[in-house]
Amino acid sequence: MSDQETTDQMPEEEPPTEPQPPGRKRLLRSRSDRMLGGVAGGLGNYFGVDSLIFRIGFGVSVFFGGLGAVAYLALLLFVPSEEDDGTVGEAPIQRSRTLAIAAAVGVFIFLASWGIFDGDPFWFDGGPWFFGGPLFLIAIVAALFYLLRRDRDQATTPGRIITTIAIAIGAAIGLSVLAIAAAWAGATGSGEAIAGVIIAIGVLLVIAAFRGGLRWLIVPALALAVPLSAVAAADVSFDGGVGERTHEPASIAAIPEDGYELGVGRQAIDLRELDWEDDTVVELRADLGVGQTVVAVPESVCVTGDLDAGAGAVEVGGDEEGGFDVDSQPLAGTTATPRLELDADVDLGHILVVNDDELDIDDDRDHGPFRDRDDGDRDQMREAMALACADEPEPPASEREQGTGSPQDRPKGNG
Amino acid sequence: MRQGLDVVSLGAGLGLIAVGGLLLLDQAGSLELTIGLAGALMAGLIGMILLLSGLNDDER
Repeated sequence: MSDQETTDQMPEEEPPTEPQPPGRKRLLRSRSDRMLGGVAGGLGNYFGVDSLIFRIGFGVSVFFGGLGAVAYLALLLFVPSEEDDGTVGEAPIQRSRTLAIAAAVGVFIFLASWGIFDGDPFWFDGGPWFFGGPLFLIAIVAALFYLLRRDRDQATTPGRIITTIAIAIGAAIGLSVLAIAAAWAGATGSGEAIAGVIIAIGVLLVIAAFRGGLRWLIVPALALAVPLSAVAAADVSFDGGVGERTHEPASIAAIPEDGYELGVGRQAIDLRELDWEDDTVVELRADLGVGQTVVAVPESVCVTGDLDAGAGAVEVGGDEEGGFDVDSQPLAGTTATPRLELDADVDLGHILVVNDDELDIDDDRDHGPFRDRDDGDRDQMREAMALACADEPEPPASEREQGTGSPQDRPKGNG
Repeated sequence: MRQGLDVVSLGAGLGLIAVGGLLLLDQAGSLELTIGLAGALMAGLIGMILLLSGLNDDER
């Protein structure tokens, strides 16, 4: 594309479709040099280089964190396009209220995902309301965008702002109820009914499409489909009830053969009061749908086994793995005793194994027992776990005192 | 309701039928949805709806 085809900067107050006066070049999406949205063509035209360079750059950058894709999308949304008659059109984000709201929601979800996947699935503080905070904020952002778009031609009054935000929050609450109901149905074995409702809404939308459309049905349908698909994919099950459970078996025989199970909530299994002999091996199973499982053992006990998290994190003795489909097998093959062989599953949430004789596992329950612990505490647990899981028996205290290990290398106390 | 064919409703409806069908099969035990597949399905569905909506917007 030649420079003549590049439109020039025009004052902001001018209508967007006016012919452009001569002056400084303006970045516009190209109409003639276009493969997708004309972004690369417009950049090439603006900088006076071959647009192929930008196309290659965008393509390659996708494989390096996807920043190029984000940049392309942003340019596609915010940069206006040149029109066939040489005028400058509006940017898509200006032309479409839907796109403006969608972009706001997308940006917010992108930002929120950093918090969600930063080792804390209970972002915005625990329970079924953990996504309530984001929904409220999305509602407020959407309402403000709606007002900003609509208020170009109308006066903004505090009453209208409050009314619009209230409606948006009300809609967010309604959608939250739908989402929770869908997730609950999926986790309790009634997901087929919700799937049927989603199909029925789809059929209704197809029929309505030929009579002008019924777009408002799309949002509640997504509010059902997204949580149900998440629950289905993570195999979340609410079998075992809901609530907060603390188990402190007085003896190994008191541990149920099938282990402990909870649907939603927090279960703490404190094994520190068991009679751990040098050759004791305890097998424990713990299942959880959504929430947090905490297993506490004395510092002298080695922990091995198979710990799985559909989505969330597994932390054993200060070492944490997080993400999706986490399968942690700490110190597999270790035969050191005393030993806990733990078989734990959580569909969505945390599994925490604490090897600390003094930690109050009921403390700071909203954020888990490790949230306020520093790296020194984690290091201490790592060292204790490594020592407990060493295949050679721990040297007697008399030898340790003679210099075979510094005090910092030793776990504190004994369970 | 708008008059004439609404491409957004049509695309969303077809997408929801497809996603609902897969969810139904998963819940019935006929197939096993993974997190990666479910995430791709949802992202694809929402992306398609937003794209259709943006390209066919006539709200103003």
